[in-house]
Formats: sequence, C-alpha cells, structure tokens
Amino acid sequence: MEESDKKWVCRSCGMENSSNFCCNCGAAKEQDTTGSGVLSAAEASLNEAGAAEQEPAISAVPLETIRPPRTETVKQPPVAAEMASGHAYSAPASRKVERPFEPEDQKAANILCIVSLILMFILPFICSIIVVLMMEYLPEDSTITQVAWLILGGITTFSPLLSLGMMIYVRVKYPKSTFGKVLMWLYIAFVVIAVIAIIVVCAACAYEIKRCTDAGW
Amino acid sequence: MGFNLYGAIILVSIIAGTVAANVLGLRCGIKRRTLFYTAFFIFFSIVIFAVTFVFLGSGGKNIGVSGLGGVFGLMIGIIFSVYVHEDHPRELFASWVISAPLMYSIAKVACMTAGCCSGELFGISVRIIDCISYMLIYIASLTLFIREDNKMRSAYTAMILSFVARFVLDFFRDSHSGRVISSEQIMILVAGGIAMSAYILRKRIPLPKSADNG
Repeated sequence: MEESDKKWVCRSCGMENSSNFCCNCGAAKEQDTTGSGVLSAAEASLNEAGAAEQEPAISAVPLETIRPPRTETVKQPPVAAEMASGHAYSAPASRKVERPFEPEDQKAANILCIVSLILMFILPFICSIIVVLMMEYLPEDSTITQVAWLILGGITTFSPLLSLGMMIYVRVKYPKSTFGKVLMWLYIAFVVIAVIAIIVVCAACAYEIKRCTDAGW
Repeated sequence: MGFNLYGAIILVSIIAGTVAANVLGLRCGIKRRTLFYTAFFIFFSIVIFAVTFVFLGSGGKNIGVSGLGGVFGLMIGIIFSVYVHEDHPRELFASWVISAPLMYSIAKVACMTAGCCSGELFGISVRIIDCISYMLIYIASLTLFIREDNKMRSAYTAMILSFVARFVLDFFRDSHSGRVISSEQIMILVAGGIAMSAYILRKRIPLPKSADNG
C-alpha cells in the first residue's frame, strides 16, 4: 500500500481523508513524526473524547468552589450539666426585659396597696373596738366571748403580717408603683416608731419599778 | 429585768440568724433588695407566729414566745419570699433554713436566763445540750452549704438533724415527765411529716421561676 493511500484524519475538521490534502477544508496532510504520517482512528477518537470532556469539565467544578463555604455555628454550652449540679434555678437566664407600667398594672397595684392599708390599720382597729364592746356588754366566762376573743386576737396579729406581705408583693411585681413606694416607707417609719416606743415604755417601766423598790415599797 | 434580758437575747438570736443568712445570700449573688424584703418579712413573721402560738395555745389567756411558733413563722416567711422574689430561690431557701439552728441555739441562752425548758441529761442541763447541739448542727450545715454546689443538701441536713435533735432532747425535759409523747413532739412529727411530704412531692410542686436579673 502506498503512503498516499493510508487514511488520515484532518486535525482541523476531523474529516477522514486518503489524499495529501483534506477534501473538506483543504488542510495539508501533516507529516507524521513517528513515521506513520497519519493520526490513527484511535488517536482521532481520543482527540474527540478530549474535546468532549472539555464541555462537562466546566460543569464538573466542585460545588464547594461555587457555593459559599458553610459556616459553623458556635453552640452554647449545654444546660444539662448545670442542671445536674443543682443550679437549674440559679443558672443565668436571658436578661429580663422590664415590662412597661400599664394602667391595668397601676390599677392592680393601687388595689393591693389599699387592701394592705386596710389590713394594717383599719382591721385591727375594728377588732379592738369589737373586743372593748364585748368586754363591756358580754360576760367574760361565756363561750362566745372566749371564741370571739381568740378569733379577734388571731386576726389582729395576722392581718399586719398579711399587709406587709402585700406591700412586698407590690414592690416586687409593680416596682414603678408610686403608691407601693409610699406604702413601703410608711411601714418602715411605722416599725421604727413602734420599736422606739416599745423601748421607751420598757425603759420607763423598769425605771419606775426600780424607783419603787429603792423607795422601800 | 429577767424578762427584758430574755427578750433582748431572743432579739439578738433573730438578728444573728438574719445577718448569717444575708451574708450567705450575698455570697450566692442574691440581690440586696431581695435580702432586705426577705429579712423584713421574716423578722415579723417569726415574732408574730411565736407570740400567736402561745396566745392561741393558751386559749387567749397568756402571751409569750414559742420556739416552735417562731420556726413555723420562719418557714412561712421563707416560702413566701422564695415565691414572690424568684431570685436564686434554692440559695435563698437554704441560707435561711440553715440559719434556723443558729437562732435556736442562741435562743436557748435566753431560756437559761429565764429558767424555762428545764431538764437534765447525765447531770448536764438540757438547755446547755440544746444550745451546743444546735450550734453543731448549724456548723455542719454551713460547711455543707459552702462546700456543695447543691445548696438544698445543706437545707435538708439542717432540717433532718434539727427535727431529730428536738424530738430526742424533748424526752429529757421536765415538761415531758409522766408522758409517753409530749404535745411538742407530736407537733414535731407533724412538721416533719409535712416536710417529708413536700420533699417526696417536690417534682409536682410548682417551683418559682429562676429570674436571675443579674
């Protein structure tokens, strides 16, 4: 077989030829440095595969290079460990947002303060009046008198404590209530005056007793 | 003067317990406002319940001070404060509960001056044994409070040891003679039963929210 009869594939258009020039585009037959002078069909198919690979190569770019890198979120320390140590109710929570002091809150605070004032001053006063009237008009030994004495005595001692509790509740739950603040200072002043009065009375009684005993009575 | 000294020592015992509880509370990060209102309320709660117990128990005929009434008032005050303030509730509860044995120990000194709560155990006055026992209970509970993260353990220890000591030592008081079990021991059993029930049912009891306002 003569060299000119060997088939060759044109590099420019891929046409299979057997002459010295491409019958499609007219490109000259390339001189084969390896000695065969032509691109074999296998080499042509490899060239075609290489050309085909170039197209999907663009789409084969890993997504990591296109997508933005995934950012890792920093996890908060687990609460379970703190709960296990018994600090469930002491673990710092998010900072409490202060509620606005609305008219409904003010109304509720005012009602609680009024009830507290009634329990502190008015109810014990009423109980004392009833006791005086009872002792005036009812026999001391009667069962009604004794039961009433116990009930009124209990109310007189517990109602100031309830009153203090209500005042503290108003100061904690409705700290912006002016009535609550005034009530707090009123009760503190009342307690201070009461303590001073008790000390003065005890000291006066002790002084008078000592004076009497020294005088020989 | 005997009455005045008794009253003064009782007052000192309440103040000492208040100071001790507040020092522990400050150390745990409880707000000063919470400590002030708690101390204010508990002081009056102790005094009022202590006086009212004697008043009601005597049918309205006597006025005095009862240790059990004071403890009852203390518990009422602590529970109220824990639920109202919602500020480190466990630490607030435990700091006051473990201060109770300290208050009771100092109050026994008042009993020595007044001559009440008399009795003997192996030739030693029950009042002295009471005073030393409750001081030891306080020291043990305080040590647990400081060393342990779970402050409630110190509160449980103080309560259990106090109940047991009070119940056992009551057998050696003069007021117990001629009786199998005294009325005060019955009250201790009732109080212990309530405390035990509260412990068993603690998961069902609605606890205050932890409102740590920083």
